[in-house]
Amino acid sequence: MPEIGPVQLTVGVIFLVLTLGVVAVLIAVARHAHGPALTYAEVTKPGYALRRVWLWIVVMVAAAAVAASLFALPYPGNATTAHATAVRVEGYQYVWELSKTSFQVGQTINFAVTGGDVNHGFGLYDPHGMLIAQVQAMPGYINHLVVTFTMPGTYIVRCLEYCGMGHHLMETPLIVSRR
Amino acid sequence: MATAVSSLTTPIAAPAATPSDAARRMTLLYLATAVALFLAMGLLGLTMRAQQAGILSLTPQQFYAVLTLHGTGMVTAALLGTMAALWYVIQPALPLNPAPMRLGYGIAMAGVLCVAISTLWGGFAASWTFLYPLPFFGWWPTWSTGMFLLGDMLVGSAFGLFCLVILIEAIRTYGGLGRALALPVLRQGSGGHHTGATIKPDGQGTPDRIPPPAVLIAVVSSLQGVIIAGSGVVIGIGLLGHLADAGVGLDPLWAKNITYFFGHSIANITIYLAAGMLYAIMPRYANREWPTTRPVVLAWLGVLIFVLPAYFHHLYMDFAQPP
Repeated sequence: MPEIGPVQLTVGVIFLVLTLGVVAVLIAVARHAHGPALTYAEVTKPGYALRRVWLWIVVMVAAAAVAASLFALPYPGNATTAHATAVRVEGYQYVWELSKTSFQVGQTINFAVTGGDVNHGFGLYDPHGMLIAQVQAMPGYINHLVVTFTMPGTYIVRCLEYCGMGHHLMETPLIVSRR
Repeated sequence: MATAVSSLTTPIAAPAATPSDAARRMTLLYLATAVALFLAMGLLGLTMRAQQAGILSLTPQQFYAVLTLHGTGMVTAALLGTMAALWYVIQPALPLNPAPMRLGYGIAMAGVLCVAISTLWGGFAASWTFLYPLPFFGWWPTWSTGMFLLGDMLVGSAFGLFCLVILIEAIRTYGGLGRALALPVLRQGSGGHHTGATIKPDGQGTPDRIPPPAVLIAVVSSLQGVIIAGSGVVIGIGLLGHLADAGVGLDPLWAKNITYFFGHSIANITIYLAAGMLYAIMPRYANREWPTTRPVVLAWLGVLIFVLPAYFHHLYMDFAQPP
């Protein structure tokens, strides 16, 4: 049995709670749907009021989500790449070639990622098996991904874009040691 | 206002016109095919799960060919089913000739056959996303790549034909694209959510000739569908060109944009076709009218604008874009 990480567990619990909530609403509606039918005018007034409130709730939740996440986009700026160690990454069917595979905690790396043949996906997993960064490895283009290693251990690079019959085997370890 | 309210409370269980027997048979053919395809692709999904559980012992080549057929077939099943269902439920308001639908069925089935042969026999396994240049970096024969691309283009073309027929018929029936998109509703009164009281959907003896929501949704989806089907032909011809002459190089980022524009959108549009069906079925089920109100029109104009650019999320991890 693979270990279930804290993030997966949280997502699972949230999903379960939301799903049970939806089911509860459906059951409640079904239980109250046996009375005589209301006229349309009786339905529209509270219905439209509910719709107006609901619209604003959705708008506010969406706006808050955008505001909270927009500035956390992983696209590297000039400031973050200035002092970073440059590492070249090339994906081939079905191997990763990196110019450097040993790093130290606290080190900031600027991975310059490309594909040597087809599209690959550069996915970086921390020692707990959590995906911490990813970028596409595409032929003819170099994508820059800036990562700062915060914990020691063995990280795994896995291919996250289907690339052929050896796709599921395409992984390589990175070693991050203490300073 | 009083007359408007009373018109809204009139039961509308019986539509003004029922679809013809030919339309009924055509819809059943599409739905039966969609369900059969869905079940067959479900079995392929089960096959992949059994392989992952160690029950079967497929080679990776076989597994990924199954994966490719499963993905393409599932999208096709969803497309055929939702196309036919929406086509059927808008008939009372917008009667449609079954002949183009029959032609579309033949084209789609030829496409399904091509995809099945190219994957099961030819071993084509570049996934249903067939990102350039993977189709040309495989172990499968060249003919299977060509046959898969042809199959995809045929299914896309059947959908394009369906969209064109709806667009032309709606424009003719309602007197222009603007009216087919129910734009006059936006100019009616200032009550916003009450405008439906003054404009009744078509097909119920009204001279207003405003499309009911399901037709509006069919028109919005068809406008997008024509562009989606066109993009499928563009990427299909580009890849076939590369297949015929390796000197014809494509830009991988351009190809990825067009491929996902086509692939994402054609899968996504099935949800909107199904939503159109909901707008037609819900009023009959609840015995209440669902009029074409200003919020409905605004929402679906929003859909018209926002749905096509949504494919960009498939390129979030391509930091090189924009170059």
